[in-house]
Amino acid sequence: MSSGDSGPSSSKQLVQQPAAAGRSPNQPPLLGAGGRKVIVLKSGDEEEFEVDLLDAMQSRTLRRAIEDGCGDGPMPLPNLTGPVLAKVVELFRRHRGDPRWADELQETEKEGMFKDYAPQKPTAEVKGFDREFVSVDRDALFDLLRAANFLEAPGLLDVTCDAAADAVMNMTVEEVREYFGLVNDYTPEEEAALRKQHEWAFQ
Amino acid sequence: MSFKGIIHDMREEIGSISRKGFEVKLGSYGIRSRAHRGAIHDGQSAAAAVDALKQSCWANMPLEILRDVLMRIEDSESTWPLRKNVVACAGVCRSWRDITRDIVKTPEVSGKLTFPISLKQGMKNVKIEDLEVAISNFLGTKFIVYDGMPPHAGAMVTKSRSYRLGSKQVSPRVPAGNYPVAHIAYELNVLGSRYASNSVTIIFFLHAVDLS
Repeated sequence: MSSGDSGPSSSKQLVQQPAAAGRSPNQPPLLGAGGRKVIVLKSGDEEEFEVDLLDAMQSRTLRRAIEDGCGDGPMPLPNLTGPVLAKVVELFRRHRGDPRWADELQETEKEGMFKDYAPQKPTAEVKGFDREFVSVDRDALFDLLRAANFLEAPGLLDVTCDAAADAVMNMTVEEVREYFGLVNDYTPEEEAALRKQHEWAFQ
Repeated sequence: MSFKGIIHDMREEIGSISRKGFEVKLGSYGIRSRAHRGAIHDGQSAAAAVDALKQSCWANMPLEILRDVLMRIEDSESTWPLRKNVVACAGVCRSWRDITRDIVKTPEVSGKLTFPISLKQGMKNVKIEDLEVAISNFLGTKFIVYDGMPPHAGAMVTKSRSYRLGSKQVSPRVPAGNYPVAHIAYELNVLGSRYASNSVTIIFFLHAVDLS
């Protein structure tokens, strides 16, 4: 199985930026460029990342936590590793104003908080970043998919799910099983029947 | 669901079957997904959760993600032969099959042909195994469906493969073998494959029939 030995290599591929300096939970909220609030996200392996509050709001999960008042101290995200979170934070920054989530924010915001966040069409630069973002090995891509699902971030979901779909294209059934590490749970008889039924599709 | 159940279901219209099969599966996956989301407030399970992430195989991927990925594959190619990707996904394992069948709509709704079962609509009592499909043109927009039954000795009317037209019962003459049963054509949209056409023409041939 390749899944057992490829964990460390995927981590290496993901590392892009160092963690933010450690902060105590009782410090007042950080202010980023333009006086905007910054929150701190803490990965399962204790790495901390500063994120513009409005960028973090791309994640519905984080938005709910912030609205519940969890945004003042480092916010623990135990099921995300540091390298994964580093990539995600960078994507949130690059997707600022992305219509895939900005529309939703415009509808839900109440206090004019997001008035500077008018939706913009993704630029060529953002599209290039997205392509680069998913140019990772299989395990790293799966980690990003899980992160996207956990964070419920539409832009992140879009980019990662597209990459997974592209990976499957033009694979045979066997190749798909191998790539995804899936067990064939059909009996030989069932599979033979299915194959017979669909063989015309693969001639 | 047993395989017999699947085969049985496939003989019915695809839209209704797939919803049945899918909801059964959804229950078990949904619980996992909700538990997953609760983790944000629970710092203690950090180490265990990170360990779980390291075994990076697809098997424990949330169902929502699998569904999203399969929908993208389904959406990407509306014409043959590229649409075989969708059929391949359905052959991977049971959960993939259930979701794929749920996503794939009937030709009338989607304007796309995917499974041979799609061809059955309008032909009551025709076993899907009896049909062969020939992909006829380069663009994959036109199909001819042949009767795939092996030729019988002598001319006999097979009751199980007859269908009704108005009040008259019409049966294919045997030996059948390679009679075209239907022509299927769907229009390509000039904007490209991502914009599926709504127009599917299915013409059933009733030549070579006995009127009895």
